[in-house]
Amino acid sequence: MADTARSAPSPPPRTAEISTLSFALIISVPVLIFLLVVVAYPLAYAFYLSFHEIRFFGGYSATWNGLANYSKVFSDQSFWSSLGRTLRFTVETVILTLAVGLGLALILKHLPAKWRWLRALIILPWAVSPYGAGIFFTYLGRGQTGIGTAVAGWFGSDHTVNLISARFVVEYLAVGAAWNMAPLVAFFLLANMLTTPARLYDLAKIDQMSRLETFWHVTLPPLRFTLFVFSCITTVLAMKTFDYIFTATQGGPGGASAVLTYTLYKISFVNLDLGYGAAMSFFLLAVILGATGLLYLLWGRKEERQ
Amino acid sequence: MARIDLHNIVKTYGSHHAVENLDMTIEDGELLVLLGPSGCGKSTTMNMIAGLTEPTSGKILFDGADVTSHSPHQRNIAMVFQSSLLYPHLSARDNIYMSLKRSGLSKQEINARIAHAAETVDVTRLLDKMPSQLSGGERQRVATAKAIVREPAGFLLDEPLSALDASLRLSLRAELVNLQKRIRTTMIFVTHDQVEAMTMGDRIGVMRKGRLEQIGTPTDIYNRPATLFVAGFVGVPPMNFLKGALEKADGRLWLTNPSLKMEIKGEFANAAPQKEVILGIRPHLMRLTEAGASALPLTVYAIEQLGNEAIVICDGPDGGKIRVVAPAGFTAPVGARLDATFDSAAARLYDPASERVLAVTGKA
Amino acid sequence: MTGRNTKTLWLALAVAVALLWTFLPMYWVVKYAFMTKTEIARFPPMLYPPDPMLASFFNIFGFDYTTAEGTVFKASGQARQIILGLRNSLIVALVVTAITTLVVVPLSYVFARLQFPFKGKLLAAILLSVSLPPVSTLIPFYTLYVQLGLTGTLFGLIVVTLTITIPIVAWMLIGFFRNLPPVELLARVDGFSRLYTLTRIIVPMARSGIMVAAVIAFLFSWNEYVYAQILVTGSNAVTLPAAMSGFLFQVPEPAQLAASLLLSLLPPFCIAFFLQKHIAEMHIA
Repeated sequence: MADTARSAPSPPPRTAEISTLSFALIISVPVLIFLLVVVAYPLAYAFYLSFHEIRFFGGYSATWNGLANYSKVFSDQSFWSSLGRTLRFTVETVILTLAVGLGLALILKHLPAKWRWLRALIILPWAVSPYGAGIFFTYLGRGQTGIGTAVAGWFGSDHTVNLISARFVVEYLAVGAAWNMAPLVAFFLLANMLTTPARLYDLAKIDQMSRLETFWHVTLPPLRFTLFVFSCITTVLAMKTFDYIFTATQGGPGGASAVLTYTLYKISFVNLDLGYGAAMSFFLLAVILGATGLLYLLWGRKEERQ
Repeated sequence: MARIDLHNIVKTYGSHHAVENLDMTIEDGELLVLLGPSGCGKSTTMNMIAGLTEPTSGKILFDGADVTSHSPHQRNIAMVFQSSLLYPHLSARDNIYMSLKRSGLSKQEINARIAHAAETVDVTRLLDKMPSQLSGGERQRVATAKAIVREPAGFLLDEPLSALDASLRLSLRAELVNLQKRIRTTMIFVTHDQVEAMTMGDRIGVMRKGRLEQIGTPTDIYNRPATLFVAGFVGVPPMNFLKGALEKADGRLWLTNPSLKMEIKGEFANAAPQKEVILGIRPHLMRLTEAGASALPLTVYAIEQLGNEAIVICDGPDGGKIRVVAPAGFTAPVGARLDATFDSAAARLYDPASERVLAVTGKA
Repeated sequence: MTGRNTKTLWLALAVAVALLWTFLPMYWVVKYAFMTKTEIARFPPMLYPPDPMLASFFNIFGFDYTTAEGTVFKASGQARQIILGLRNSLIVALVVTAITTLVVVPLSYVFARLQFPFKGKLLAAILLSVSLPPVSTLIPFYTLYVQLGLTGTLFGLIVVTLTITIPIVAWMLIGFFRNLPPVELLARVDGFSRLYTLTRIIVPMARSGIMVAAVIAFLFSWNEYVYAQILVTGSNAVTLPAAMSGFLFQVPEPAQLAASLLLSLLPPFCIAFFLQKHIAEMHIA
């Protein structure tokens, strides 16, 4: 046939096929070394600090004091109260973020085509930095400048309504954190919802499910894995957060919002007690890992099996 | 175009044996179908022929030359992957061009070849489309053009039709066979669909659990399945099986079980008696009859009307389903008693322990 | 009223609530940028600027602003910091984005698509670094930087910021790469080397995912405040958020704070606005 008259392809050069392992190593080792240096080193150094007493007055000095820093944490009343505030803030933030995210996703899903551009507006709070969110919510909540007083003013009252009260500041901050993080959750949930087959909704209609039943049995189940992943992400972010609380309340009023990160900041950078701060920071790390681990055990394993 | 030899190929993943001691020859210009259920090692075998996977031991020869350590490109094979995989970000033309990019051909030659390949499988008008704009059948054709443009020594296809709908599969099947005969390339086609295998292959290699159960022409595989697995896997409707014992009496061989006593004639008449055997008989070779001594008592379970014939699915005496082909329009109520007979010379006997066909010493 | 109309009404109401929720907190502060000090201090708080003006935007860049009535708004004493901060934030964010993308694309590719020993453990290590609170690594970084003389330098800030962006972007991209079709097989049959496959096939294929990853790196870097607050505040390497905090803490200047905050929000908003379609394409692992 005609093809045989064509010139055969010249024999390809023998390329030295590198093995998967060496290719993976060549690519990842430099990055891993960088990460090791800039993540593991500080971690190791913090570990070192946590066994020492660091002084700056009269020249820098580090004195070995064994487990003293760690045992001090246990008897430190401010540690336990800060931990309590961190947990309270985290639980509230996670629940609010997922709930608001789900609500926004449901609204976005039902938008008719000509209103779709609203999606681009709803995402905006996600782009606001935590420190920006802190600034927004401090002015929004304060009695002098806040929305509460403004609303009271409409009704002819001249009371100041302070949303950042010692009693409910943690709840107020959780609302702000949810404001910041919920849009991203909403977008992922929306993407998930759009892949749910429309037939399932037809089936729900045939089965004469109520709206709530449809939501519970049709809308929600495919979202559960995403919800789990975001509950982990939100947990980590809420426990790590510092800049948001720093700009929003500075731990106030009267220490009522001094979560663990804020207390750590004060110990290390205001009191300059670096050894003690380092020791306490390992407790924070343990709490973060413990919380995500617990979430996985209680919830994630179940979702993976399905 | 090449003759491909596999010598004692073994592939293990840890303790899992994906392919065991495989010996096989694919003749130059032949279309060999590798058939088997998922996980039987057929794709692994194809990947080793392609050079995508290195065998744990054994040798692969192309036209007598050892290519075991050569890359796919050095072997000059072409491959169409599952669901006709294409580079999603490249147009059909660029997808085909990628096959020749490393070939060292001149620009002119490349363009001529692309045009020729596109014409061969009739995709010239699709060349500037992106894969996402192509239908399943069009993607398959473009993937084929990408493969043949190299004028490969071997053309390998890994279940390329499995994602397509039935009617498209039917027409593409014929198209591929036609193409293979026209360009006379050695072609290996992997599938789990036995109809596809029967209709396409010059020869079929049936694999199971990493072993080659039987290799032969479709007629051979259909009429003379070497193992119980091949007998049950190939053929629609599937072969019927009856348990029984082989006994010698009056110088003749009898198959007996509680509901049947039948003289074995033909090929297996001289088989050695044994306590347990399995008799296999194709549904097309059975007839529904009046009750008789050597008839099999059956109870109707369901009837499938195919237009040209009817398949009567029955509960057999030993619990298994027995299918009998009846004339078109045959009806009987579910649960009705029927009897069926067949010529024992057309049946095959298998040893349930080894699952292989019984050895016969000589012709009757 | 028909059922359809009721439904539309409820939806409109829900959308209104969502928009209020989204914009009220921002609006409440951003409006200060267009108000005078006395207007801001009014009691009860004003809902909107009665007489919007742009004085604060001039002030934060070091310009006096004179209104038509002849009132003069003096340039801010922090103007130099704001200008520096704007410049530095841009430099840090761009450099961090470039390095992160360059490094993370091959890294995530390797982790997502290839099988090799110790992969699981290495991956766990990367993920662990996502959950490190900056406050804990801040202390060692701070002491280390004091010794190395890296406090108050852009280089130092870039290095720490990379420790945030690399793990998080890697985590997102690994999920994205996992979902690409197995084109490596095609590439091997076509005779391409691994490097060619990665750079000339995978990267163009994954353009949208890589773009989102880069943008996320930019956002994280642009919005970073904790490290900047400790490591570069008051220096020539100050970033916009750190410079802005001068208006928040030392001498509160709500108008100028709001103006600079609005300024800092513009790039992220543009990004979010144009990329929202692609965000959910990042499959979560």
